[in-house]
Amino acid sequence: MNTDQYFDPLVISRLSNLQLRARHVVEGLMSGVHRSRSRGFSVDFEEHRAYSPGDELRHIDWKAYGKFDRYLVKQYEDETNLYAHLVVDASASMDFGDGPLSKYAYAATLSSAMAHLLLGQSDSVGLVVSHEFEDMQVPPKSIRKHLLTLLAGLQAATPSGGTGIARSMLAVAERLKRRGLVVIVSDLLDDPEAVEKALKLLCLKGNDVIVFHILDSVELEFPFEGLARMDDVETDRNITVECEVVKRPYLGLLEEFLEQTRERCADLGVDYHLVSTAEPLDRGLIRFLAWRSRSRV
Amino acid sequence: MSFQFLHGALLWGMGLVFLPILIHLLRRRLVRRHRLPTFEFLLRTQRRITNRSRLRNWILLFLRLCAVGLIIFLASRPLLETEGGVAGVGWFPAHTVAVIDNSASMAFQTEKGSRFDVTKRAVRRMIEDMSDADRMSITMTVGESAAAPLKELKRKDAFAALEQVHQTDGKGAPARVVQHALENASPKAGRRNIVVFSDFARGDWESFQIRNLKQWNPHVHLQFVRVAPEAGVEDLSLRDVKMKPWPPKAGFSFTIGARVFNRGEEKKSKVPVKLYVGEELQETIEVDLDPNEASPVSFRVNAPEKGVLYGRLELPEDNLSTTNWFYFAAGIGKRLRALVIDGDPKRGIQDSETFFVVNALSAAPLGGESPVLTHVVASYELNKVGWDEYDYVIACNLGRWPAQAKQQLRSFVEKGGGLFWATGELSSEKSAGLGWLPGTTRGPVTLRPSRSLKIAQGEGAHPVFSFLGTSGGRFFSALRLARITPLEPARGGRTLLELPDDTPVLVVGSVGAGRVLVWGSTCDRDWTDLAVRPVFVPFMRGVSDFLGGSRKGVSSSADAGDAFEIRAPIRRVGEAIQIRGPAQEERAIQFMEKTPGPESARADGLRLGKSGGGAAVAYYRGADRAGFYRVLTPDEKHFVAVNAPASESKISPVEMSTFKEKLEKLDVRDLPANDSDPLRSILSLIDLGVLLFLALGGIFVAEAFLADRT
Repeated sequence: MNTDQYFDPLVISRLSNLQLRARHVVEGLMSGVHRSRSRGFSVDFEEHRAYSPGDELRHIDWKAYGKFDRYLVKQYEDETNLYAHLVVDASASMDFGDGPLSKYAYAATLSSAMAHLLLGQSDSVGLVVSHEFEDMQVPPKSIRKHLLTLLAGLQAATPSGGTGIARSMLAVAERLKRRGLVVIVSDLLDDPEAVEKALKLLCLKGNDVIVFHILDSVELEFPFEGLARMDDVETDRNITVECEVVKRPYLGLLEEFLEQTRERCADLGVDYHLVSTAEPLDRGLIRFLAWRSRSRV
Repeated sequence: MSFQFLHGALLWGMGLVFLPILIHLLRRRLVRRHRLPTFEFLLRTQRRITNRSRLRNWILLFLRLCAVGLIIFLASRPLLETEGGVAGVGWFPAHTVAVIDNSASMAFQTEKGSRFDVTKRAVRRMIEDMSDADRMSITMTVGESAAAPLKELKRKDAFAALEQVHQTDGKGAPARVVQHALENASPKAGRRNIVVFSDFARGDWESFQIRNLKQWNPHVHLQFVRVAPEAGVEDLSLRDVKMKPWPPKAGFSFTIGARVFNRGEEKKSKVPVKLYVGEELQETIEVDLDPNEASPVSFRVNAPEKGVLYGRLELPEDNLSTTNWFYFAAGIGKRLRALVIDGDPKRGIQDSETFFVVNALSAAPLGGESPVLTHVVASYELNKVGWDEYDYVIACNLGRWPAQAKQQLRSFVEKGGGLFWATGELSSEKSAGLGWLPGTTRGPVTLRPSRSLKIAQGEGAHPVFSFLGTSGGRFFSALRLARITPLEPARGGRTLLELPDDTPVLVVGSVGAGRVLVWGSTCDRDWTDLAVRPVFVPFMRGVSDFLGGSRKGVSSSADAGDAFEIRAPIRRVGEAIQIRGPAQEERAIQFMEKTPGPESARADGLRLGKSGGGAAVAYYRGADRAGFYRVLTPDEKHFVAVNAPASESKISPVEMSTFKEKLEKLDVRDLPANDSDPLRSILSLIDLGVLLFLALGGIFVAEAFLADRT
């Protein structure tokens, strides 16, 4: 797999002018556009980065300007606005897709775009790839090179087994020492109560939680016809159904599930976003960030 | 109650009922596999809907099976057959056409009156069963109503119309009437029925073919009711009545021959067959009749000199009286006119053959007139003869004569004239140029010693000898013949008289429509003493009777049910005459001018007679009963004998198996004479098309509703 596959140039070009703003004041060390409760202790220089509008003038390295004739801003290792954790579901149910991208591929692409965006703002980004019983973790860092590590982690994962997203979320909640942003990218086909419990814990710890609920268009629309044998992708179970007969009640149950999830997220203050794999990848992201920027500056 | 199907073969398509099941099974074989991450939702869905869905699916399958079955059932056009009349129900008033066979054979007596009476009772019961919305038409197989427009009658009017229906002695035309009813059954009625009541006697129905019906409408229920078949066919009937010659000549006798047929299963002994001339019993012959056998009877009647000869043959009363009588009537016309040709006119009159012949033919009873008018001509006068004025010709010793006359004589005979050809010294077949005679001559032969004559074997009853009584042979054996021209029968001729050595002397035969006798001797005393023997007069009278009888005349008789005509001179056009029928009913008819031509003949449906040109003619169309129809004009005495058509004596019914083959899917039911409720024999056929169509619509709606629900 080529790592560039998660960086659709079109997606990145559309996101470059948008800024992600945290809804709450999060604990951080950086001095940036984000307001932080603890002023930074950042001292270890790591690298320069190009000045971008919004950076304070005082952070411009004038010496470097004299040397390279370009505005550069000093980047310190400890300079972070936000600790973000991307929790990506890699259960077998995510290895499903009617279009060119499976749900996991879609989730990985979305996560990569988020990581790229966050790292571009010097936020620390960590990754948790969720499996049924154990997770693959990448600790958060804010350096740009870290993106490659994140991408490697996403690539290394193979969707399989049952869903363990609730367990992974709980683990993340327990592990986090600071408040930050937790992005959940999953189909949430887990025990709803457990998922709610995990989300509640994350929120109680003061995290800003965003849920990207990834579902395939086939799951959302049930376009099958006639008599069909349906196989569960995570177990060996199957049933034979008359598609026209079960379609309506199935869609009703699914809608009920989505509505419950949406309500629970709303109750907890979790940003919930349902994403269909049929939607262009960038469109959902832009819509989400635009909504975020309008309501949480 | 049972089903009939107009297109029963389509029921084989009922196998298609299982098509939905087949489609279902085939679909199961074509099931596709899909993976679904949200399987849990599907599983919960399936659990939730399974019970309801399964029941609904079974109902759907059942409805689809029913729909396919109903479509096939509907296509086969099911008809529900129920007993008990043809009255309409609810929104479907009925129009019923009752076709009543009123032909002669329906007069057959049963224990409850005639078959016709039984039919009327049944029709009356049908009328009583009518609802106010129903309509009925009544038509008959004999009479003018057979072709009249059908009147759709309410109950009250139908009763009145039924009272007008009467028994006739005519022959029915069932095919024409049924066709008429089929074409005219009201299309507005919800249900249309045609009920034909008949005995299905062969006379009427033997030639009936359902395929001859020009228009067959499957929406009209046509059923046939066989009336009182249990009454059987036991009957004595007169059949094949023949009268020769007909019409009779004044003063001449004629024979009435008939066959008496016993249709019963028992032998009948000494059945009297009576001949009435006028109103007087003339003669009775008793015959013995074996079961299902016929015996011939024959009467001889002497025609009066003038006036009208009428009478009847009569059998004892039995089940079907109309076949027990045969009426005859004829006006006695002109006397026979004979042309006597003298081939040897030089001889003295007392030696002339014509002298003896004319005297023999002119013999008359005391105070009476001779039945024959003779005209003698010499052979050289033949060119002046008007041949058509004569009934027959007696040619004596005719040798040389004009060639034109030879041709005229032949033409005269071929058209029906008679010829007695007597040979002699001058005469020979060759010299006469008559190669067409039924006997050839071989030249005169002298007989030494002279010989007598005998009647050829089996010819004793020939009409030539009819005036000799039973001892004709004795008369001829007393004759002496000294010289003859031996004959040899040719061209279909046969010997009537011959010498003891079987040499033919008198040969009879036919040429065209005419009769010819060739006598191998003379009619004077030269070769034989026949002319001076007592046998000569009755012999010549027999010859005259035989030869003159071949002329055809106009018979004043008709079949019941047909119109008959009365002719008169043209001057009587416009004049009305009164006719009195056998039931003393009187009716006036008027003479009209009748000009010959096929169009006029077609117009009144009658065949033109020979004298049709420029005559006045009056038609009587109401003669549907057998008997005498008399013209009541004071100065006129005219009888027309009307008899049941000969075919009406064929009263045994057509074979029901044959009839059913002809009628295929049609109903034939029996109506016993003693049935207390005749309606039981009358079927009602309800077309289930509308009901089934509604049911099918209901099934489609239910199917669509359930399918949509699922």
